[in-house]
Amino acid sequence: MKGFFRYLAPFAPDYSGAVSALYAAGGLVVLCDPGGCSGNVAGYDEPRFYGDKVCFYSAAIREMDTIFGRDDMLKRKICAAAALGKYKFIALIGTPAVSVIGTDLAASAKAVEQETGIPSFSVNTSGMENYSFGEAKAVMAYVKKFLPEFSSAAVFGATPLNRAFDDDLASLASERVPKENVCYSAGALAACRFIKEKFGIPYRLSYPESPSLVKAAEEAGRAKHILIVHQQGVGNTLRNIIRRTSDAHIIVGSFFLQDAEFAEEQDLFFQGEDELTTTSKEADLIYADPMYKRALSPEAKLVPLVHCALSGC
Amino acid sequence: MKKIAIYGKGGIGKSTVTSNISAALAVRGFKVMQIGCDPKADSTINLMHGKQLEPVLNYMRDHDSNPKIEDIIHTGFSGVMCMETGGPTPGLGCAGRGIIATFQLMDELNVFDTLKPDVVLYDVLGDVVCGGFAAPIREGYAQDIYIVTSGEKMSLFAANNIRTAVKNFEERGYARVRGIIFNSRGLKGEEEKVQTFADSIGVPVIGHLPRSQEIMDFEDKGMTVVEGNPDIPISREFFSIADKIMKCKGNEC
Repeated sequence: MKGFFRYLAPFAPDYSGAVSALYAAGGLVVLCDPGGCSGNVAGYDEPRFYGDKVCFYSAAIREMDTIFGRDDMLKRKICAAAALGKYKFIALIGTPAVSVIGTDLAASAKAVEQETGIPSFSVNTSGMENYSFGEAKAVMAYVKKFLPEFSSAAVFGATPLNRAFDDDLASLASERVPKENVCYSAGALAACRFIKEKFGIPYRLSYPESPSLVKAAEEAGRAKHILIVHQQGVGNTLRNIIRRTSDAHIIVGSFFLQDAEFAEEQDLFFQGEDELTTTSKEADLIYADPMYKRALSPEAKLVPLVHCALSGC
Repeated sequence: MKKIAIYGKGGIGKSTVTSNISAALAVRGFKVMQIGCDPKADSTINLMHGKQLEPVLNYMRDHDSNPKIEDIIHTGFSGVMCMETGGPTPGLGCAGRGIIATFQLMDELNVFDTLKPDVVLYDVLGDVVCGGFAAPIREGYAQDIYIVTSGEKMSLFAANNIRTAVKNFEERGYARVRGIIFNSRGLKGEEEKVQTFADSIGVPVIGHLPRSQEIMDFEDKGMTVVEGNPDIPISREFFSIADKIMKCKGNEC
């Protein structure tokens, strides 16, 4: 059944993905929430908040604000926060509260930009989808706002939420200058297609061959039917490594954004836990975050493949 | 692509007026889309020969998945593409949120770029009661608003509320009120009252629709009067309104 989960904890939501995608870009990121969503993002989903001093702001929307739709107050608060520092941009991130009352965040961003002179944009996340969808929306919004910056190749998706184990994606991303746009997850692919239209820069979905993935691949042994459960970038890279020494049938399955261009015919986008359980019964080896264990067939060998967006970082 | 929204007090005849304008535009050769934004989901019924469409939100609820374009948009009289957002049972849920969800779905399905209508008409429920009902006039949706009103006090009151709501949004780049469509109840002094209101807000009255038995007779047959008999005076008035709407460009209306 779609969206039915007996064993799995909730995934990091779309607004967490949006905040994470914009985390290191030098802007004032405003989560338009009463406060709980901000606590979730800063306290759990985005581990970089634990040590960094990065500006992240909750709009602290109250009941009367939702009843009366006090967009002017939202604008005043954001402008006041923006005056406290120097920011490259201001991003207004949607949450269930503003989504349900239909706040026009795009209009608010426009008003904030007029008032502050700082480039501003909105990301229409609603808390109804998982982080990968929020990442996609945020990257697209950012790319559209700062398009000239993307006339040369870059790395996208180097965020903790996308990583396997504790891979240091920021370091891996800085190791060499890419010749084409490289996406560590499927979240930035739509934006990369947009960039390709504008500047002709090719793109690919490719998570780094990190030492942790290379080590995990060694566990494949003589397995004949392998299921890899993670975000698509990690899944594809691990599959590529395993295939160098194995001819196993490998399915990459994910609850997160799956891009058809980079999926093989047998790959799966899971809409509910039972789809994962059913698929796991055909595998003799499963790579998955240990959090998935109770939803997987006990007959298959489970190799841990930690996913920060599922079990925490 | 021209996108317009029709607003007005509940029961004033918005759906009748919108459907007849759609029909008139389609007869003129335009590729027309009409989107009913009302939980009752009956905006397009007279373009569909009495058939009530499955609303988008009902589809999403019943199928637990997003529809394809062909699941939610159906072809009516003279090729008019018809769609209904639908909404919750009265007293439950949130109809405004339903409109927003439908519009987001339309963006995801790339409806306008795929179907490429020349004109899109949003037929919006009653008043601009919340953010959801302002969605059709946000940037990227309708550019022009027409308010349907009679000369009755409450109808003009509602029309003024709508105009005030729209004026509040001016700096956001929302749609502008471009004209009044006078749907007469046949009361004494009505025309003067509507004209006075239109003058006070600085927009023209672009059409005067007298009470019409023909409209009701053809609606009983599940069609617009424009389809039923395009040559009678009431139908000609709808053609005239449709022509004026199409001539409105920028601030020149």
